[in-house]
Amino acid sequence: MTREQEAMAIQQVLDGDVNAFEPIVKEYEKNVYNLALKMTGNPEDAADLSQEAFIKAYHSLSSFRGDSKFSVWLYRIVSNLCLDFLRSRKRRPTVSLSAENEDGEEVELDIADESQSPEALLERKLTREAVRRGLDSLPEEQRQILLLREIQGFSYEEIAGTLNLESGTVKSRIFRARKRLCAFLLRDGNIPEFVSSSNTGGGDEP
Amino acid sequence: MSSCEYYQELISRLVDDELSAEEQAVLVSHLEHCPDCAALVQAFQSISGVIAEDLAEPPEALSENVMAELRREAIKTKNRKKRRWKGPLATAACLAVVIAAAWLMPNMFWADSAAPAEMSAAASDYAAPQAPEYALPAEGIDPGSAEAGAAPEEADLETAPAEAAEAYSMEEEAPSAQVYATGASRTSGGEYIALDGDRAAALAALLSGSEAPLPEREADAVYIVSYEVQDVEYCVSLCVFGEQVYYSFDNALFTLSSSSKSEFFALIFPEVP
Repeated sequence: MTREQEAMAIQQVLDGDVNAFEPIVKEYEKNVYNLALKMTGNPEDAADLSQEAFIKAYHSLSSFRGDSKFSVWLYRIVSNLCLDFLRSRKRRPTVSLSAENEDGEEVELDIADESQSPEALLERKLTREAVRRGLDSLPEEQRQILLLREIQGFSYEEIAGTLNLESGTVKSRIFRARKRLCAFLLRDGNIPEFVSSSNTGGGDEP
Repeated sequence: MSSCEYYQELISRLVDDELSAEEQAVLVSHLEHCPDCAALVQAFQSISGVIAEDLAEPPEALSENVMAELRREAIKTKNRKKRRWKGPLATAACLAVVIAAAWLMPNMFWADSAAPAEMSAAASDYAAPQAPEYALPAEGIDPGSAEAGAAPEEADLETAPAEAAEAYSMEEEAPSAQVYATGASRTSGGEYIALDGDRAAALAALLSGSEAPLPEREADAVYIVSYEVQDVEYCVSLCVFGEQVYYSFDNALFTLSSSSKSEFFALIFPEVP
């Protein structure tokens, strides 16, 4: 779907043609779903939230001004719905962190790490799994911003616009999210060996 | 903050392609003599790669569910608008299709009945809308019977708000209806099936079942029946669950008798034996 086609479809929806919304849904469902999936970590919640996001987008389409990309506008809706959802319920105990140091980094994990495997073939899959767990362990705001960057490929400027943040905040929040994720993976034992010697943990001195 | 903390932040932005040329030059020269930071570049990049590649397929039904919900809402909105326009009587009219057919086919419905003469004449000032009130499925009117529309009696007609007669007055026009079949498969689009007057009226007569809760599963098929009378569009959605056909109107759900299902399909797909 080109941007022109998209703009035309949006206009048709605004003119009352509900069916014109279908190609838009099909165009974005994968990214919307994956954003919701990584935000919530649960396929059912992700499906529900994706559906809700599209319906909400449909109803508030008239407030889309066209000065930003439609995708940016849409992902803001998804992302905020996910945040609301996560805040509205108790955090799932998927990862147990025993403590954080003064920098907010995890210093200990009390889950038994059975995901390590020397099998090189499994490494990729294990890493994906570990990254999922790592994402899940991030504070929601950090996860949200990192996903907007990694899944949607938004520039810092676009993210700043989407989340109403200063670009400096975007920069530092993405960095902190990455560092924290690295620290998690390092302790989780699933980061490639070359990083293990790196200074990604709590201590920064080489 | 250690010096490497500074470079780590640059590395994060390097991965995101958000460095200025100057910053990039500074970072590159640092990386040449700092193996830890060089490793961090790889680490950040591989984590980025894993996140970006680790995409799941959305549920097949996602877009279908979204569109089904939006179409349902669109129909509800239409009905709501119509009610406002029509006034109080329309809220009592539970079956748009029965209404439409009752108006359109007064002779068929009421020719042999005790209905007032002016009703069967389809005169321009004829107050038909009371008919559907008495064709309410909940009232136990025999489905499909020509008598369904014959229930109104003069006394009851007189109880109707006066403005209703005005609101519902109509010119005689060719009966028509169309059925929007949303498509059997999730991926295929829907299609419109136009019904001529006789089939429209017969379909209308079918649509008087009894109130029923909707099964808690997905429908096998969904049809949206729309009618246009006097520039006002009427919509009823029908859901097929196995042998049962359900339809909703005005936030109430009704079901057809199972024998009506085959009649329903015979009406909308007459070419299929």
